[in-house]
Amino acid sequence: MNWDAWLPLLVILSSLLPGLIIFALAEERVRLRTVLNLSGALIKLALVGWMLWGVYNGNHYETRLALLPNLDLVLRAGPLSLFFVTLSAVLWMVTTVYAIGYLEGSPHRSRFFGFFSLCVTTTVGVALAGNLITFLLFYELLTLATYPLLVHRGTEAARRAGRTYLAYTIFGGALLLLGTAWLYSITGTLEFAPQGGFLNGIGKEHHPALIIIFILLIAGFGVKAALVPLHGWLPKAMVAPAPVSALLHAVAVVKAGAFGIVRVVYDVFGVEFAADLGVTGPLAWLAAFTIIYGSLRALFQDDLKRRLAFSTVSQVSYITLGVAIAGPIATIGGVVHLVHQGLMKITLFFCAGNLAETLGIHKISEMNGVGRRMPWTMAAFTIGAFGMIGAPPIAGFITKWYLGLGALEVGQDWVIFVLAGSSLLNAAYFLPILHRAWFQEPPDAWPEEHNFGRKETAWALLLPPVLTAILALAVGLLVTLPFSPLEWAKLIAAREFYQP
Amino acid sequence: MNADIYAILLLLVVAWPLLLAIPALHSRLPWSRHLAIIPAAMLTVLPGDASLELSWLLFGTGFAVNSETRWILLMTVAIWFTAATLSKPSMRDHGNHATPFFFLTLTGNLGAILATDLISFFSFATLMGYSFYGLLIQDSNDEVRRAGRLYIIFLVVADLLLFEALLLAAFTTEDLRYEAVREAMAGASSLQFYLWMVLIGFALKAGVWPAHLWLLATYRSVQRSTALLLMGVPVAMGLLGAVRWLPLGEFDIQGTSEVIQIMGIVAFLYAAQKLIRRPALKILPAWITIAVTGMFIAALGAGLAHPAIWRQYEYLSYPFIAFMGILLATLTFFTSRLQDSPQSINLPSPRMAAFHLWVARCFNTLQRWTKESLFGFQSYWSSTWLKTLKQIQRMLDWQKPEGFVGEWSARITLFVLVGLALAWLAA
Amino acid sequence: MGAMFTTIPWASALILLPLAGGMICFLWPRMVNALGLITVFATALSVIGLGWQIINDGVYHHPIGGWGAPLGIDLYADGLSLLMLSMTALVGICISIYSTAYFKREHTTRFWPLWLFLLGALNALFLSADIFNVYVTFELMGLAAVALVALAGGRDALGGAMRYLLAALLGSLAYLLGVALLYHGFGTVDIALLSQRVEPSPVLWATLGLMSAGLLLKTALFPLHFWLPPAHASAPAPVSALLSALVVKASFYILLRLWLEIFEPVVDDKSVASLLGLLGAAAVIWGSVQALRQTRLKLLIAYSTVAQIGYLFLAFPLAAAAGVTAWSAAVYLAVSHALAKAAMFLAAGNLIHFGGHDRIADLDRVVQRLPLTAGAFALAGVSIMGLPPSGGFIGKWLMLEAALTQERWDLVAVMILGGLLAGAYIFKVLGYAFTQADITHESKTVPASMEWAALLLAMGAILLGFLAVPVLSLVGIGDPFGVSEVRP
Repeated sequence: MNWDAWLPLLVILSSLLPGLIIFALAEERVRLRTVLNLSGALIKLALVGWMLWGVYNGNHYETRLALLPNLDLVLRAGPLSLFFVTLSAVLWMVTTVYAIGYLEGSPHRSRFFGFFSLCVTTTVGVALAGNLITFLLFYELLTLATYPLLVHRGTEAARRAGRTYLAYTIFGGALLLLGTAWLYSITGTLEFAPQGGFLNGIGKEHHPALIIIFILLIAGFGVKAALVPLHGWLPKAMVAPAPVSALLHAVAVVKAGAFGIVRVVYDVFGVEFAADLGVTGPLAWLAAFTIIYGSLRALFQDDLKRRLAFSTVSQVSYITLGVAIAGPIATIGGVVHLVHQGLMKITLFFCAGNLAETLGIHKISEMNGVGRRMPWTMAAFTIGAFGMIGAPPIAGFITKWYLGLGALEVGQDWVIFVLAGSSLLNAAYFLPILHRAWFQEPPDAWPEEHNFGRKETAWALLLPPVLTAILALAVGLLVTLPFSPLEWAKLIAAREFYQP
Repeated sequence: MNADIYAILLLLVVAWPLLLAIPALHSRLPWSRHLAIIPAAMLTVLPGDASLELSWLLFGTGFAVNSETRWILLMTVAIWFTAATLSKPSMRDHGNHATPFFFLTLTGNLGAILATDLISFFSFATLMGYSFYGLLIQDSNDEVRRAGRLYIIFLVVADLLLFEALLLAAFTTEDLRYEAVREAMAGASSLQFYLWMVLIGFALKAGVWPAHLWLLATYRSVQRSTALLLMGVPVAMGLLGAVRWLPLGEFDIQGTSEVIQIMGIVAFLYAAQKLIRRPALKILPAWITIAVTGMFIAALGAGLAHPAIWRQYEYLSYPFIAFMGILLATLTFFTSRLQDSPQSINLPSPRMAAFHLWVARCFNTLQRWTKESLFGFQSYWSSTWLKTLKQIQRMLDWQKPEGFVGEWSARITLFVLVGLALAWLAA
Repeated sequence: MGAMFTTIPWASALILLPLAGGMICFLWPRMVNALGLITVFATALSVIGLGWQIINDGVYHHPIGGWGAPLGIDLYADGLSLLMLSMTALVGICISIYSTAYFKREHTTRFWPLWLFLLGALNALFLSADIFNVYVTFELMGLAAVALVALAGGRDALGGAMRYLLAALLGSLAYLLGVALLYHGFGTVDIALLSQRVEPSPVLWATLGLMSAGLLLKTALFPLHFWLPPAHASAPAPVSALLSALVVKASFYILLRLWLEIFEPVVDDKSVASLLGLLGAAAVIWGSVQALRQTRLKLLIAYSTVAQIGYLFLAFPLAAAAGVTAWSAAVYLAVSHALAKAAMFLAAGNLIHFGGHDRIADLDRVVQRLPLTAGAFALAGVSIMGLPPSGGFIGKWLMLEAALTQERWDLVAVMILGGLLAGAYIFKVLGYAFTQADITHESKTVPASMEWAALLLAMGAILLGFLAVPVLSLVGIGDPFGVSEVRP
């Protein structure tokens, strides 16, 4: 039996099976549930590590099942897929630990962790998809798996947020379905093709149709990637519990959209063909507009999670921007931001969750002096925030560096100003938070304080943000080491996007 | 052997204060502030040049000490030592939340001095700049906060400009060490851009006129030890950065260099006339600083215009910065001693207050305007949609069970019609 | 074993077993549950047997009593019939299991015979090779169905049943007239013979009008859907499931057969197909919008059926250029809809049983208390919405493909819009399932068999999404869609 052909499927099953078993577990079987969750996460990490090493050495892993006549369900582990899979696997692990701490004692945990596992399963599926129809399949499943997490609290606000989320994502899914089917009716294949996409041989008469298909696909993915006219659901989705927001903003939903855009530009259309069609330029402008708009809106939010949500709107578009600039270096910047933004934003959301859970703080105006009460949490938050601003040597700096260089390389100097403006705005909405947290006098009493003894908060809540903050710092500091995200992104660019 | 010791020492200079920034550590060590400076002090007294390459760190970082940097290092060590001694007894307390920032700023400062390439310099300067804010803001009163806000705004803008300059440099040359950048930038097409961004960036950081506002405001309001550091930390580092980043001594840049010279001279004259009009004793050193930095900028302009002369006198620039830092720090030290009560806070001059008000008003207006335009658009958008939806709903009402289709006669008619239509179409 | 398997006349068993079972149920009302279940399982076994025969030997053709066409009664089964029979068997089993727990004692004695008659009629219909036979099965099916609707008693149910009865009679009558005309015109009622003999003539056109209208009425295609929502909403849950999943499909199946064999070859003009497509499109939009506006769960599901039937008719205008794809899509949609909609009605039945009402806005905390039911509803919803992976997605994908290759943008738009609206009404229900209102009503426990029956059906609909290749190759046996078209 050839194991290589089943590895991608095993990676998916490693979170699917625990998820399904957890559904069936009784609410009070905490220990078994924890063991299942963590062992699933560990197995997935091990499998992913194995595949990383294999792919690094030039192996291929592919699972292929028939879905329709002439159309297969393909799971393929290439460099780009593994990049995203690794991100999901690592952050799933961390978030699981965090969620166990966060939800301790709250109701419906079996349901929560079941859907949590499903959510990661589908994200990994999105990452591993080897053709557009497989991508579409997992992408839609992701929508469905996330919904119960979003409305987990069951309040009226949660229900309304869930409705908004669905309205956007189902609409996006429909556009995507249309684009995919249309593409299939023109080409007869949907297989992702590295280095130039599969549309190369298409005759000129199809070009107008292809432009519309491009718009459809990008709009479909743009909903989840929160490109500007389609971003409305994201700030509302912050009613979800903190681990869900963290996962939503850092790994699962938003990233799936951004990843889809990368796939469309590079593996479906091929970047040169897309540039010939003249669609990358507008996309870059849209991304730039989103970056600025998201930051502007973030300035005026008093709710911490809402501010972070608008920050995500802005930051995720860096990925789109990097892809749409359509140069090798900018692409590296965009792709590496998949991981960088994930690490930084998950840190920020963990910290926001800690504040809410430990002190009952939800608003920025309540954060006075919180740095003295929870120094480790706020230290992690500070690293995340400076990373977002793009201060060296944190991960965000690396991204901006490559985006800027890439833009210069292809002569699109205007991007530099967008980056500068975004950094300025990021500073404008993050620095006041930091000022409050570290330099204002703390109030006499916190809104709703929970006692954790001598510690600032529970271990399970404290360790994940500290770990991710250290990672965010490390991927910036140790950027030239092999297997660093940047080096892997370079590998992706060399193997999948541009012929050497 | 010797090289190894130097390497370890170089690393320690930066790593040791960084380590001490952890509260659990420095709160347990006596004299921790002084201890943090010791590796740097040792490096200044040990003779000879040394360098250390850390290719795994960031995009490849290097630290080096030579006769030029030693001057700056000496000045820095002296100032920090004084500041460490001067800091109020309460500041050495266990619970003082400003102490970590002391160490972080120190790390940034020393790292920036020792760094051998633009990115490392930039990284350490960023660390230094933002942590210095923590020192500035120790006394929490309104004036300090306003000064701090001004400082941070200037800092953010300066860092942005320098980042862009850095990008231009990196786009031109792979090698980002100072000499390589100088050579490469001298011939680059983006030279003008680079030149101005570097110059403005560092001018903002060093508080050169007309960007001296933050310097005056902070100088007026902060504690003595911090005022001392102002000279050694942002101002001296700003000037040092300009010397290192600008393509000095490469070739004659006509036009631009004259503008720079004129600006420097104007800055000097402006500060001089202020000095002649005898400002309050407390802010005297600040105006002197502004005058000196103006002169320095003028000198840089001259250096850009006459590469040969610059090459000849280049070695002087480092001791100049060092002496300037020491002198100004001493001046600060004594003027503040001369004052009766160091705690008394001078009220800001009416003009400064008016300026602050103006800045605040502008900011608020901008905020309001953006908010209105964004939300206005949104609410308009949603209200139009709602209206349309309601209309559609009203249109749908005819198909209620008791409505038109509810009647059997209507149904049978429909049925017959469909049949007829099909037959007719088939024929 | 193999020999025995192939020699038993499974097709006859398919018809006779349920009819006999129904009779026996009348005779021994005390053991009615067990008897009924045994019959249904035996019928399902017969389907497997017939499937075995068809897969091995190809199309099955059996003149009953040795009398062939044009005089005798022929049984005919190809891939399409087999698929429909399998669908009936599968849905039938689940609904039967469900019904053993659902009905009270006094209702079971009436439910089982009726249901078994209905099953026999359905099987006979799918196996019929002549149009008069079809009429007979129609009548049997219609009467059994009407009686089942009336089973619940009460004003609503009787009113719904009455409407249904009138519609069914009207439809059958029109159909019978068509049969008479065809027999008069071409001298046979055998479909295969008719397809050779028919030629364009006024008789044929009149027949087409009559038969199509009758079948459309029975299929509840917009605007002739008026009888469906009240009947389906007021019937007991398993009956609603039967009606929506199977009965409506039966008339669609006949329409499909007649169209493919008799009408399509002789009607050159595309306008009939266009009209059917237009009505289908209108049904998709209309049914979805109406479903969205409902406040009662069962009415919502019933209107959703109206919409889903519309999809089936979109295949008619598309078949001209992409025949196999379009018809496969329609058939696939029909089957997945059968599974999904049965699951939905059963889930709705659970909810009603549990809470005593079906007001959507009051479905609070169902997820916590009936997780399996909520899961069944959600999974079935996935298929109804046409989201992957599900049978509904495969069908919709094929249909989209057919529409896109012909650049029928109007139909594409209808399909996409229909999917969106379906998403809206499904999640309108699910959205309330997660809320946490206070418990305001007495709740009764739901037997596990009822929950699992619904979930099994829903999972079947999902599973169909992965079985497209074998199922489509199965349907291809006997080439029901004609080979003239070539896939683009």
